[in-house]
Amino acid sequence: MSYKQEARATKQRERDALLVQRAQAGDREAFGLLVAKYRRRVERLIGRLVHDPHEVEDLAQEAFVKAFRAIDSFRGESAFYTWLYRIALNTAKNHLLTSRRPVEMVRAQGENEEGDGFDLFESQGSEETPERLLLTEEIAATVQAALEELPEELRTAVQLRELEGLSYEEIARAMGCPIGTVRSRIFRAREAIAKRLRPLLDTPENRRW
Amino acid sequence: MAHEGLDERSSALFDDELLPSEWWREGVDWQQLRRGWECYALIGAVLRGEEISLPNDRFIEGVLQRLAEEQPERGQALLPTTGGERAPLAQNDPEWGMGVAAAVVAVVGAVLIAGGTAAPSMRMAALGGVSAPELLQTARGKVGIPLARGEGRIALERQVPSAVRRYRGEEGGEIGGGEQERVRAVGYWPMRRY
Repeated sequence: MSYKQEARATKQRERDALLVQRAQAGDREAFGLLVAKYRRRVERLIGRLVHDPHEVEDLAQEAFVKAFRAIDSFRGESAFYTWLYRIALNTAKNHLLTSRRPVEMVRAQGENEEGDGFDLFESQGSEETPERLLLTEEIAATVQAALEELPEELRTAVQLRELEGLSYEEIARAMGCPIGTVRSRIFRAREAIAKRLRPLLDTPENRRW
Repeated sequence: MAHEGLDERSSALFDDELLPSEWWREGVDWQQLRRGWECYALIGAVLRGEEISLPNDRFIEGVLQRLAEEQPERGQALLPTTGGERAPLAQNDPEWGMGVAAAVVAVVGAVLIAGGTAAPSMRMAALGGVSAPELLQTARGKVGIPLARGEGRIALERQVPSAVRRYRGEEGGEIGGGEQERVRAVGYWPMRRY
């Protein structure tokens, strides 16, 4: 792990600390934020072992419930996601063992406990309904169109954040502006895109929202 | 329904660029915040060209619902005292604390007395001149656990786990007018009032 990655991991640990502490004190809503934050990564992880999307969702939920039950045992010696990763992995493996299906311990190239490097849901394409495929295409097109319409400083800020993964401080240096300005630009960019997305996400077909 | 827009600080918190302690405030609309974060995550995924995972309010609500059904009392017992009443705990009852203290003193004292015949004056001094039966009586009164003799052990009422086990032995120091008794501490754990 490079110095930059290590520093980022340390920062991540610190950031999650209060949410974890509140969850340890029984605050389920704080835990809900951790769920919102890590749901996709957990689903991606489980999706490598279990190919039915419905099972993936159930197992991901199960993993989070198990994590909350055991949250008192989390001592903050590792990042929260690293701890959650193990719970999710064991949940998926146990499911495969009890359902007597072979455990495919595929460790994709570049995969690590942070869940990076996955080619997500590669086997789930066949489960996609035409409506869902259409919706995802619409969402992608809408985001790209909204991005193109953004003022350049907003577009650059959000791209440096989302594509390059730069911190606010690094973006501030790159763009020659204060961190507060970066924060504001990224927020405004996101909200402008989200405003365009809302009608799509509010449709009755989108049962998940 | 999608979120109606978050504030700048919630966006920064999403990026781990703000400590939750800097952000925390009362009256948070958790559902709106979670939906906002889901939407931000979706935008990020699209920009990075990742597989799109649609926002899933149902997922989080499902997890929270299960947690609420499983552990309804956990949050009440451990949440900060502000904004709600703690669940009543026996340990918070001052009478309970005094009772336990009296029981412990009684048991320790009785063990000292029953431990042998040497140095009786020291044993009595340690008890402050109070005999073991008197201390046990005090414990009964404070804790509210009747300690009845019988078949070599004490019957504990109200289904309280073994706090004190007391039995009559064939040997031991003289207590209370020549009656041979031995009292043994078996350990205790927090007792509930019923």
